[in-house]
Amino acid sequence: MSVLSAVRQHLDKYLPRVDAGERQFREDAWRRAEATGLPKRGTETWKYTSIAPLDMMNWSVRGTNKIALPDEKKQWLNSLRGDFDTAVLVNGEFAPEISNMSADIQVSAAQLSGSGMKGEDGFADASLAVARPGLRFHVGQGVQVRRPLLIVKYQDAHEGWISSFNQIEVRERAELTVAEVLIGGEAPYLRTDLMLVSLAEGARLKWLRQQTESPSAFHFNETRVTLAANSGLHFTQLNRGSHWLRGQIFVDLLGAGAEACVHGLTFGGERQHLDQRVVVSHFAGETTSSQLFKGVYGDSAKGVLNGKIYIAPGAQKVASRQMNHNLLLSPTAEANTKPELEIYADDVKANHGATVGRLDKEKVFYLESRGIAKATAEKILGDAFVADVVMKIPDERLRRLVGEHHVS
Amino acid sequence: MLKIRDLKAAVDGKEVLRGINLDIQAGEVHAIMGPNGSGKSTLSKILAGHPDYEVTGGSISYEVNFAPRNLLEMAPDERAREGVFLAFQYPTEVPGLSNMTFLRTAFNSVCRQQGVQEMAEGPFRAFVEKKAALVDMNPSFLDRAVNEGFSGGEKKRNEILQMAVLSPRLAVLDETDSGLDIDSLKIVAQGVNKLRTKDNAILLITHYQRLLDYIVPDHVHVLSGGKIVQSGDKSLALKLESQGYDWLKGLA
Repeated sequence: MSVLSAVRQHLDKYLPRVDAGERQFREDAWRRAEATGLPKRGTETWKYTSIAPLDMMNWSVRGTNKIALPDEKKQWLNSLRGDFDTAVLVNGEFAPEISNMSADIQVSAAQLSGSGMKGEDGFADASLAVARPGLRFHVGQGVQVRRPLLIVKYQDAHEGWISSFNQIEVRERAELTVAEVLIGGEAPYLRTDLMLVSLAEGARLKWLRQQTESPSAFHFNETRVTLAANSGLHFTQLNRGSHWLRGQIFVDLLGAGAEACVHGLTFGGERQHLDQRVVVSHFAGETTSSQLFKGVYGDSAKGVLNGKIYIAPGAQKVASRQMNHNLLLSPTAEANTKPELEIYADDVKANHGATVGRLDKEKVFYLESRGIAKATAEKILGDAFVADVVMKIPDERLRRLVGEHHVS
Repeated sequence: MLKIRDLKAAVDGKEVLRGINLDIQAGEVHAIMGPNGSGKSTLSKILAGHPDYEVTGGSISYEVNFAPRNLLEMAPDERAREGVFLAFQYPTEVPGLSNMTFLRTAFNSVCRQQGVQEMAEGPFRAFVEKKAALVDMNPSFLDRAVNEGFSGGEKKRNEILQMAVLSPRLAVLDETDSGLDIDSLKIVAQGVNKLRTKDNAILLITHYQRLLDYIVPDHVHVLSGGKIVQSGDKSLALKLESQGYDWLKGLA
């Protein structure tokens, strides 16, 4: 069954059971999805990625599908409790019995209706129409949460599609550090992960998202972040897992003094297709942003980075940069980079650069000549290539988490 | 330990080595001298297994566990794990990889091959800091990226540090003296001398005699036109120093 038919079938069963506000929200999302349809070959922002492999699978939308977190994941989680507060979602559902959060973070059920979330394309809207409301994390005015919050999103559902919607709100002058880890079971599954994040005036959010799904997973995410005046976001997206990935993040700078760093590192191997889209929009003047994305691709992996800087009319004194550097480890690996600048103000600084390079043979030989096997040498050089992105993560505990996944 | 027989090699289709014969025993220090373009560096790269150098004839036999093995059939990393070490003339910079991680990965690769217990981070750091003192290297260099932003002398010391950590049985030092001032040269030479044992062998490749004032060789060979044209003891190096390389032309 195609994606859209699966959505319609699920809604027919499910909608009669929900309240009017939620029903309206889902019907609206469905109508937009139906009108737009799934992204096609000609859809410019999906130039390098076909949704066909995903649409060909026989997904069934899962509502409640509660399972336990596997023991090995529990052990891993326990090993991190010293450093992190934890919030665990299993198949989109909050698991309070294995979560542990400080009172500084107020947690409630996420609210679809009234969220104002709209998808960027037909697939995002289809995902919204069937999204399970997850959690809304709220940090009140002036609260500085000391311990970082680890949000674990685990999915295991054979040919199951679980769509999840979560919210983070950081109020005026409040501070929060988040490590989000997406992992799952071995059977093919589809995860669509939707997030709405708002930073009020002077708020700070440091955020690492680690997409380390299982190798047969299909993963789509859409994240929307708004920044009020003088707020700051430092976001790093690590993409390592999934057979098929499309991630899209939209960051809107709405008030003067807002600053966003949107960074990423992608490791692709085998036949992975990993597509990351980033749009940073300066709607207010005197705002700054940086995008730094690096990709390392081996085997027959294919990577895509579509980064965009938008500067609205009248948004003067904006400083924005966007860099994308890629390293190919094999002749059949591929990296596509599509930088875009759309600028409607004249007193701004915006620069961008993109490179695609191959492994330096002399470096490989240097490592081999010290007894390091060729495959290990290539992996080490791949890690070395992205080391600056890791070093820029502004919290040691988050950096350590990235390091964990470097060890094989 | 090492037997080179009638070794011929080409780079980009051009013949550079035209029949080298050389025997090195454990405990010996050999020096190969020769003018630019004589094939000295080619020989060192072939011993380490650089893929750009094509062996067109001859053989190299290297003793592993008291039995001769065909070195040319071994991959570069395997040679290194069996004790072959090349100190590069131009050590490669590796931004993003810390010297410490590099050394530990290399060291543990060798340990695994030799069936020796690998070392954890803490004890390994202590071990490496001791070795760094051999070449008068500040421990802060251990946490910097491999050779990145190092001066010429610092790069050469870093090579000898790697040698000290990996304790090879056959160390090939390719123009380790080039680009060094006299103080750095002394430090590097002292470091190498401390690593000399009766069980390992060192092959020095150099253009100039001055390195041999500090690391005294047992045998000196002159390479010219891709062949060893003369062998002798350390006095041969002094002759080259006083007479230059011109007198060799008739011999090549």
